[in-house]
Order: sequence, then structure tokens, then C-alpha cells
Amino acid sequence: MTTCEDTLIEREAHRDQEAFRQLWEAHHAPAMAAALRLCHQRALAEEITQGAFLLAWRGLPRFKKGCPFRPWLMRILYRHALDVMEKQRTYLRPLSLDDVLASEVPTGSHDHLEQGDVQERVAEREVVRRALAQLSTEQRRVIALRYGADLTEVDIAQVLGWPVGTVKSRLNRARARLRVLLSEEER
Amino acid sequence: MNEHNISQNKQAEPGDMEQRLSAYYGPPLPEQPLPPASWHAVHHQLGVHASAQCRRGFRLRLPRKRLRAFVPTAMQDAFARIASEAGIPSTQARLRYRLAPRSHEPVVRGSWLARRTIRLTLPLDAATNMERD
Repeated sequence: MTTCEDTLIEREAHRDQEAFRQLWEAHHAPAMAAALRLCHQRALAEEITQGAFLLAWRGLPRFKKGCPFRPWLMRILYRHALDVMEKQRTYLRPLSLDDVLASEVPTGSHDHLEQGDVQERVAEREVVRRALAQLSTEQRRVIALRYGADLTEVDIAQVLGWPVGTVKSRLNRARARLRVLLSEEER
Repeated sequence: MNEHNISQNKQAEPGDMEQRLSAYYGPPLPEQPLPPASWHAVHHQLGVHASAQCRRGFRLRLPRKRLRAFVPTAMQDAFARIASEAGIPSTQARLRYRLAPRSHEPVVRGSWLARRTIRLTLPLDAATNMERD
């Protein structure tokens, strides 16, 4: 974290909205990318990103001085994203072609893709989505953070506030259940 | 037939499942800049949140007793004396005072549930004028 960012956080903690705008400028794009990867829906990802920044603004007086801002923000974003996705039950909504394209390939560069390939990927993702919908909330959360955010078990424990052992056991149970569900889907 | 059943009962391979999950979420995406309108929406919320926080803070800091004591003490004493002269014993503990900004006449109310309580409501303007006099 740069000294400049330290100053911004210090100013932001004193409710300086201009300092907060600068932090938005510096961090919103990677936050949006992370949200989009988790939820696959551009509009929802934007809502999640905005919500995470508002939560950060609210929680900034509790931010530990000297710690890097980005990991702290991302922890807020992941927690918020999982809450929003569960609340809106996004896992029950079938994926559209647009969702897959928006969350997979940078905008404007998917013209060369074969229509058949994309549809095949949509169908494959639909199978996985239906399997994920049958997991418990806790299992879906650990799977999302493990595969949708590439977090380690220790990081997941930190984001969700669970002991590492709990994360491991829930992850193992989720994987075992998914194996069964995916096999059943293929029949 | 047997072979068919075996393949049906076989669970997805661990590696296969991991790959499918990774494919479902896809690789990390490049940065996704949002339009300026997105910041404006957040900025607007910051204002709303800050003012809501101010209002909430003000209410929380204002103690309950302070609100009740808003009716001037001299006025409370006057009412207590009237009640006492009317022969109502130990009135001080039973009288409840309130100032109503929109009312024009003083109101005296009893309550069916709390029969021993007498509620006195005064118009705010009248109370202010009396205090000034």
C-alpha cells in the first residue's frame, strides 16, 4: 500500500467523499471483475460492487491502519456477494448466453467464437448450476470462494469467519455431494 | 448391460469435477471498469447514509428522560399543584406531560389500561409563549 493510499484512507475515515472517490477509481474495476466472476451477471455484479464499497465506507473507522486496503475490500466484497446471491437465489436462475459471454470473454472479442461452442458451454454450466443449487448455503459459499475466487482454505476461513477445520470439512462434503449430483445429472 | 449399469453408477471423477467447477466460474477476469454513473450512484448513497447516520446518532444521543423533561419544569410544577388542589393524591408520579406541535388546545386524558396515569398534552406554541411570559 502506498503512502498516498494511506493518506486517502485517513481522509476517508474522516468522511472525505473525494478521498473515497479516489479509492473507488483505484479499486472498483478489479472488484467488479471478481464480483462478475462469482455471479455471472453484469448488472448484479455492479450492484454487488457498489454495495461492497458502501459497506467499506461504513466500516472504514474500524479499518486497521497500515494494512493493505485491497484485501480488506475484497473480503467485504466476497461476503457481500455471497449474501446477495443467496438472498436473490441466483443459483435458481438459468444462465443465459449473454451471462456466459459477459463473464467469460472480454467484451468485443467473442465474435470469432463458434455459436455451437458457446451453446455447449452454456449447457455444461447449466448442469453445474443445477448441481450447485442442490447444495446447502454453506456448501455453496465455500465452493464459490474456492473455485470462483481461487481462495485458499485459510483465506476462506478469514472471509467467512469460520474455523479452518470447518471450511475443510464443508468443502470436502460439498465436493462429495457435487460428485454424486453431477453423475446423476449425466444419466 | 452390466457395463452400462457400472458406468451409470460411477460417480464423477474428482479431477473431472474440479475441472467442471473451474470451468463454471471461469478464469480470473480482467479489470472491469464501470461507467461514471456507477460512482454517482454510490456517491448518492454515501450522502443518504451519512445523513441517516447523523439523524440516528442524534436520536441515540438524546436520552429518553431529556425528551420527557422537554415540558418546562415550572409548567410541570403548576400542573402538579392544580392536581394536588383538586384532591388527587401523589400526582407527581402519575402525571405524564407532552408537547404537541400541531395541537391548538390542551388535552387531559386518562387511560383504560393504565388507570392511574394522567396524560397532559399542551400545544407547543402555547407552551413556548407561556415560558416566554
